[in-house]
Amino acid sequence: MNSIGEFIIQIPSIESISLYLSIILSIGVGVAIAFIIRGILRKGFMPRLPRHIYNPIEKIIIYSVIIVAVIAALAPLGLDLSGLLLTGGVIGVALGFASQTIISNALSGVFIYMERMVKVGDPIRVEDAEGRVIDITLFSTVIRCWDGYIVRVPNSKVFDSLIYNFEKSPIRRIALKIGIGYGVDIDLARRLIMEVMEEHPYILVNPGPEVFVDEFGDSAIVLNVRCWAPSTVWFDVRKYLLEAIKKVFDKEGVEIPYPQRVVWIKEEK
Amino acid sequence: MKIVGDIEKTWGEAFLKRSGERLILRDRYKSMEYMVEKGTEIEILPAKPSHVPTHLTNHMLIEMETPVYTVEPMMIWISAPYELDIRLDGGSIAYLSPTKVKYYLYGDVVEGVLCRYHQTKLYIDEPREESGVASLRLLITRVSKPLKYLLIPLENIHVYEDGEKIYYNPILVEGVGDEVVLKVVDRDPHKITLYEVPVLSEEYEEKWRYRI
Repeated sequence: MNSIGEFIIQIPSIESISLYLSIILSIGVGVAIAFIIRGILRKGFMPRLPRHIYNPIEKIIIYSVIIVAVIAALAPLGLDLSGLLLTGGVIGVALGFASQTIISNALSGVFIYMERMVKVGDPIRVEDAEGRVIDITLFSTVIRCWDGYIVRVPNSKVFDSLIYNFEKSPIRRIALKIGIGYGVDIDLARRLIMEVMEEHPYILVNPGPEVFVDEFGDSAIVLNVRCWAPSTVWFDVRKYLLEAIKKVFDKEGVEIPYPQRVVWIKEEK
Repeated sequence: MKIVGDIEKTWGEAFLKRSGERLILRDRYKSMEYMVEKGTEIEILPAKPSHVPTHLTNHMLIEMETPVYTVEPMMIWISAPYELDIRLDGGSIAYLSPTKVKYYLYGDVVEGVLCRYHQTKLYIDEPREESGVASLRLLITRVSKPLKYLLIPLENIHVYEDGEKIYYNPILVEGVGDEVVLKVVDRDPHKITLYEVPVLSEEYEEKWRYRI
């Protein structure tokens, strides 16, 4: 034989061409659906979520849709998908158990964003951590505490806990209890405190400040002083107010008594 | 107002003194001193009252001592707070408040709007005796409920100096049921009439709507 080789050219049949075309078309439709879903996600969720949270979620959803489309499109070729699905299922279950906490944190992170209870910059208290939020990632919320420590709180914990957001409202109430001596004129003490509050720029006109007798204590008449201040300056106002009241009481001779007890000594006859 | 030489001047509780190279600025909330080269021009401009002591709001709430109720158009004058923007070489170095600063929450505690607060008398003629406040003319077309206060967004209104006095743009007040709509009038307050009221823009009307 002089031939140097033999080429077998197999001309595909019309059926197989249409099969391949239908596979390509199915994958194309899957990709198109994935892009439509992406468009919907970008319109609906992208403005509500920060980029670093949104991007991975979008990728997971889009790639899942494309993978499902490709698997479904290849089914007519006789690929046994049951094995693949079984393997995928087993891997999924294993990963699910392994990544339960991670997924829980990630979902909590998304819900925290959607709920808009906390945002970066807010002063908050979550469990034992109190300070300003400096970052919210997919898995954790980072708080810079008032004493300078950086605390990382897992998002699932933030989501499950009571969250106190100190600047969610534009204003915040200041409540002080001030004891005055039983010999002090209550109206004078009240007037002095009201004047201090009237002078301060941040103590609001509305809701207005108030001073009232809260209780007759063991050694003092306890006045309850309440006023409202913008949340951003609340601590400064509270700090000022306590000092200013003490100074004006000292100046006007209003006594803030020490704890005292009157002792009667029984005389023996 | 531009200053090159020595000067000592007060606007209500705001105080400015330039003596040689020393520049002293003072109001109720702060006192500052700068060294400024002789001959440097200092510019003093009226500014919206949102900087002193710190920037907290873009709204002003003016409460009227006497509520206004009218079904016929009327014009009145009121006083409004302003601040002084002290500028050096084109840049702002301080804001001074000629009056005491207070704040008011309009609305509820969660959704309310924090406002710079001021209480005013009503004047038929332009007020002259109050120092440290600007004059604002109101054109009230009708209000079917007593009008006790004005809630004014600061971003669209203008404050300016005319001679020794400070003015805001006049405001057109229209009361419809429980709602009040304010519109800034683009005209010198001394030259407006009840019959011709050229408003500056309709675009920001929504922000200028509030309930009484």
